[in-house]
Amino acid sequence: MAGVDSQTELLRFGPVGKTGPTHKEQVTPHKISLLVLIYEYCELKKKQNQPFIFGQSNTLDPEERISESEKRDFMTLILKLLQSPDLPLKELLNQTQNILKPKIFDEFVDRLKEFYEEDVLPLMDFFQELHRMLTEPITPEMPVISSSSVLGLFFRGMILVFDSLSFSQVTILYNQFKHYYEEVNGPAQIDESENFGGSLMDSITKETERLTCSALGRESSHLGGTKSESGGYFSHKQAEYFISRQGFLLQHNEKEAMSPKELQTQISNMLQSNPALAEAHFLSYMNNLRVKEYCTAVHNLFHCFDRNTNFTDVNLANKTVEEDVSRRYASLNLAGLHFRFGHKEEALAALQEAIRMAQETNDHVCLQHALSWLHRIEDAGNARTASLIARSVDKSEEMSLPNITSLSVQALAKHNAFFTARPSSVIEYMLKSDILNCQHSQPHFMCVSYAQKAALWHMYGKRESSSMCSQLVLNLDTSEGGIYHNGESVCLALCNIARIFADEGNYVLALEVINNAKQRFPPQTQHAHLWMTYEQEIMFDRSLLSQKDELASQALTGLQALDEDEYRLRSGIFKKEKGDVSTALSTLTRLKEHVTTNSQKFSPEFPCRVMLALADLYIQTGNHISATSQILECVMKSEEHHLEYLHSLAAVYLAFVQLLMRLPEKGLSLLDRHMVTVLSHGSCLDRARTLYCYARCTVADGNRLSATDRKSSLLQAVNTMTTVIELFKKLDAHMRVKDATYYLARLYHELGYTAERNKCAYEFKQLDSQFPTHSQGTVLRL
Amino acid sequence: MADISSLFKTFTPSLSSIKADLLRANRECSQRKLFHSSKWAAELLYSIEAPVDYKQILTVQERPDFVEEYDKFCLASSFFDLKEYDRAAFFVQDCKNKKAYFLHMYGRYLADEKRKLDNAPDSIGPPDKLENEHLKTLKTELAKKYAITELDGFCIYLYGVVLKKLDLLKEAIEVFVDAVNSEPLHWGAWLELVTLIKDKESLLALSLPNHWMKHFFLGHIYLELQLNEEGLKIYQHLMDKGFVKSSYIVSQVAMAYNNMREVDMAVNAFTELTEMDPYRLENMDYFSNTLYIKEMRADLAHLAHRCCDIDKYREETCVVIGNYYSLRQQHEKAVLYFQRALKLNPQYLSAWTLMGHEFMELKNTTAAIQAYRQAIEINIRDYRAWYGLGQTYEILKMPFYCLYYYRQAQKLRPNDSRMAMALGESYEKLERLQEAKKCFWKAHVVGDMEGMALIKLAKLHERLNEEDQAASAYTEYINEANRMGTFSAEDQSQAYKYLANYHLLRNNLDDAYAAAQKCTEFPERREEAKGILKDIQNRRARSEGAYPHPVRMDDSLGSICPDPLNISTRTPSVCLSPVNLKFDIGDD
Repeated sequence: MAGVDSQTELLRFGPVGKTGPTHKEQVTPHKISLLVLIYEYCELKKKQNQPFIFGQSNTLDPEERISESEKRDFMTLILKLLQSPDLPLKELLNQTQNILKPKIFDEFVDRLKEFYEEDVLPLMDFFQELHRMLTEPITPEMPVISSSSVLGLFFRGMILVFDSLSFSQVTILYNQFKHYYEEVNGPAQIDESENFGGSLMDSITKETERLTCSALGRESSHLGGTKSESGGYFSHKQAEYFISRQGFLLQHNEKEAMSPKELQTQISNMLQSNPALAEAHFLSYMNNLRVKEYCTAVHNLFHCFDRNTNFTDVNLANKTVEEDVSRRYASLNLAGLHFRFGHKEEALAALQEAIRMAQETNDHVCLQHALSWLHRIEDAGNARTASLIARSVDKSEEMSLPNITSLSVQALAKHNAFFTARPSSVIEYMLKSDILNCQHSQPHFMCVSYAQKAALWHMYGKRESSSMCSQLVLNLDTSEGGIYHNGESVCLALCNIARIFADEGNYVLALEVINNAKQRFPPQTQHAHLWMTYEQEIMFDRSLLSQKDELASQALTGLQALDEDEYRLRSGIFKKEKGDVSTALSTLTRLKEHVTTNSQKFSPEFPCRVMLALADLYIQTGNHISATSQILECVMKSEEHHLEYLHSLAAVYLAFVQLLMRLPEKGLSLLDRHMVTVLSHGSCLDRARTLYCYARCTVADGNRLSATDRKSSLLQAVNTMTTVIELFKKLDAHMRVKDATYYLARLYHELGYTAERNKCAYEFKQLDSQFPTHSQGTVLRL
Repeated sequence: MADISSLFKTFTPSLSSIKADLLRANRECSQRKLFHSSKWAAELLYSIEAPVDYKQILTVQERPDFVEEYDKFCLASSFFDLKEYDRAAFFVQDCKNKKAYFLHMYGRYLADEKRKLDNAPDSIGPPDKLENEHLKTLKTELAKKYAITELDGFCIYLYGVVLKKLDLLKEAIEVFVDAVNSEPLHWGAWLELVTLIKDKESLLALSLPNHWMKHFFLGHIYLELQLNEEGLKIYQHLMDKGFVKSSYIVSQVAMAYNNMREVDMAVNAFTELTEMDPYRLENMDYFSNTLYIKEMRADLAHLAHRCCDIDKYREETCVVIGNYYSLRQQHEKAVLYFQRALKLNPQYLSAWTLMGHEFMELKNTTAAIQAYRQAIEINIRDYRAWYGLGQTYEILKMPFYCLYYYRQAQKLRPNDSRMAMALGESYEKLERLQEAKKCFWKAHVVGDMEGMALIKLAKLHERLNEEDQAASAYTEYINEANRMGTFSAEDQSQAYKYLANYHLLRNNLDDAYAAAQKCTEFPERREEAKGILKDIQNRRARSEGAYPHPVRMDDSLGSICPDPLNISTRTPSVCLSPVNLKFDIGDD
């Protein structure tokens, strides 16, 4: 098996002709600088630590005394430098100049200069000195650098690598160092612009002039490269740290991570020095996912899993197992990728492959992952999916995979909520997920859970609970290593809060919240479409109420790109408001058909809203029978799904229809039953409309009462109407204000309060001159 | 360049003048230490049989400035021959004449390249920023002179080489075009151009000198761009013109056949080449590939032995030996030799791919994947590596996963039926039959190499109950199989059976009969076929009985005449060929 043994050796043999095993660490000029920095610091510190001797004037120069805060600053700086990629000297000097004591800084610069001027000898001596420093502590109890500390490990690693260099390699290192040093204070580089005759080609080549290694040049010219300035070298360790850090940030708080372009540059940089680093391809894959770049993401994913094999493993049997695992997860990831881009069938095919392989090897963990993907990919809302989720919950709990359990619990809660389970049971079930998240401290899932609860409460029509849950998402302490979680759920919570503000007519605050979301999730990031949708919706609702048709249609166009269904519903409403009844009718009926045929895709709330919009349209055109049937359907549906608020709203619509059909007493009794819900949970508009309807019903009902009773009911209606007008004013709904003012004037007239009547009439007149009525739409609306 | 024949109208110079040109080129190149180009020229001029006045050509008048500094040039030249490039460059640094200047720059270039290569195994840490410092200085100096057109053709070539090394490819192309225009006899410049042109469009866009060297260039680049037919045509023409004995041309022809997978022709050409130039190692790796495909073990062994004797430290030798071991199923050793080839030349692409194949044979899929990936990393357009990766994952039973790789391979070789077939088979496994159908159809259209596309297509149609398409595909398959002389009992019998049933259903009793007859030739289907035949007979009887001809003129004949005989005269497929006819008579 000679061949098999030599394979590991063979495949480490890179394409660039490097032989021998590559070290995880390398000595680079930057690292030399760091070593010098630390060394000088230690030298200074050593002086301080010298035992106090009587008779000897132990007066340390204040220059040389290091205060505690200076120590702290120095240590954090060094730690940061150790973990970041190599920097050019200029950058390093900039960073250190302000933090270091001038004394250390001078020594540092002097020593670098010495290295530069006096060839390899001082460099080699320096490493010997370092070695001595580690081995000979000044006092046995207190060495300058303990060899197992972070710095000690760094020192030892560097010394080891340096010792293993051959002389010719040392000269190479020295040449690199010289170049590194010259970038800052060396002799001026040959100024090429002087040398050129100034032909056309020179100007073309000048951009790429600074690029050095040929392959490097190719890489960064793709990326528009300012490589030689920003680029740093990654040793294997630095690269690993970089990948884990950026990977974590991408998942946890995208905003904190590097911008996609910058990150991609760093990744190609990293691959340059570590071509066999599979993880870098995965990071690149994640980076591409966030900008929704399909092709590169696919390439990266495949590349990553092709490369993802560990050849250092000696145990052959163990290795094959590991490879199988990697292959299964490759398929699983592929499924995820396709799902993210909406390729359901492809995703399913990949998933099936993963499942088959996992089954063959009895890999239950992988199977659980696959299962949770499966119920995500499969059509939501049928019994099969529900049973899949339930199985996933049980199994993953058994195998203690808390994140999958938590996710599945949430999925099942959602499923149940959509399928007419009792709200109490759904919310209680969500508790299970909360407990799990708490036990395993999964801040990400906590946020998701609260966001989902907010959505559930919203669906059931409990505005305050929904608002509270959204605020909880924002208030959770999700920091991991000082970075707060900033994912989809956070964005949703913000949007939800914005909507609640908007519903209250508090548009300024709403837009403020949206702006916050904008900052947290810049437009090119994954979740930006959420706030974009909400922004357009709020804009639309606002401009519709204040009759700014231009703005409204603009918002509609914006919405169309983001959420097709919401767009259709709103465009129907828009046309209705504009009086374009026939188009509105056809739009809404088509939408309703679409919703009923694809009922699984929608939350039960949506069809109810469509029906109410249709009912509104019928009312406007005086077709009470059709309106009633829509309303009743809506009532049935909302009752079935426990959508309390929509149920009440439908009842209000019904009362209005009854009023129009001259059955005010029926309407009143209906309103009496449902008004509380609307008033406590409804938006500003809904509250005003309900109250308006109530006032009208009372007045209409008053006709059959005795004169005194009638008067008191009229007075009551007047009271209500003032509230209504206030609410409408809050929303800038001028037409409705006008309408209500007119009605109030009529009431006053009825009561014989001429002065008040005239005041109202005057107000109306003013409003009418300000906002003349254009549309031919009837006033017959709720 | 669409019409190659029109191109040759410009091919006017006589062989003698070409030979004189080549002689001059050889001398110029060797003076400038451009060894490969001078070798090429010498090889070609050796092959031309035409009278040349050597004496006149060999006595050349050197330019006075050259003669003046001849001593320095001589010294530099000697150092150059001893591979002491720095020294060579140093001693001619003040020379004014063009040749010395070239030697100076070339010496500096080579010295730097040599240093880089020597340092490569020592390389540590980041990609060295200093690495190209020298190249850049060279570039600046050359660019300065280039701008004021002070460079001769050879120096322009050197400038291009430096640009190419710096990865400034677009500029490099322009410069090389300039170089061949001012020094068309320098083969090296042409050759550099070949490596830079990636497609036919950019080739057509070049403004090349109308020199006889252009034909050699075109032939070479057509081969490189896989336009093998065009390349072959050019070489054929050159051979007609009197370059028959050129080993270069023969080797190119062999390579063309090799690319076209005309294995027999390639073997012939390669054999001819080895006879002409028995100590040649170039192209022998491709020769070994063809021998491998033909499974000519003895020849391959012989070739391996010979190559090993000539120079065992050449990558070609290693590949030949690797191929030999691979053919002998000694895959570990094969891997070892491919590995050695890679050590000699890390950029040697096909060794990675071949190694991938060997690892596949060794059932070490992970190593295979790594090897293929490495190959792709060197050249992302290597379709064999993509295909290999696809195969690997297919073997690992990941048909969906391997689709990606096959797609890549297919994209790179859109006209290769093997890729389309692989893709189709994967789709078939995934039950995505519509896609599979498209792939098989594509494979058939682009010229199916394994003869499997049609039968697969037919079976798919059969599965999808698309009867008409299935029948026509089966028919086509049978025609194709008959034409090509391929034979697969299983597939053919199935085709005949399907056709028989198909025609039977449509009451084309004659066609059904013919197919069923054929079907009886296959033992495993004989019983079914007989069943069908019986069915046909029944139908015939019935339909004849049902004919609205109550009165038959000759009643007795109908009953006496045996049915099969009656049919055989009517069946169009059994129309006898003249040969058979003659035979029958003779037999009588």
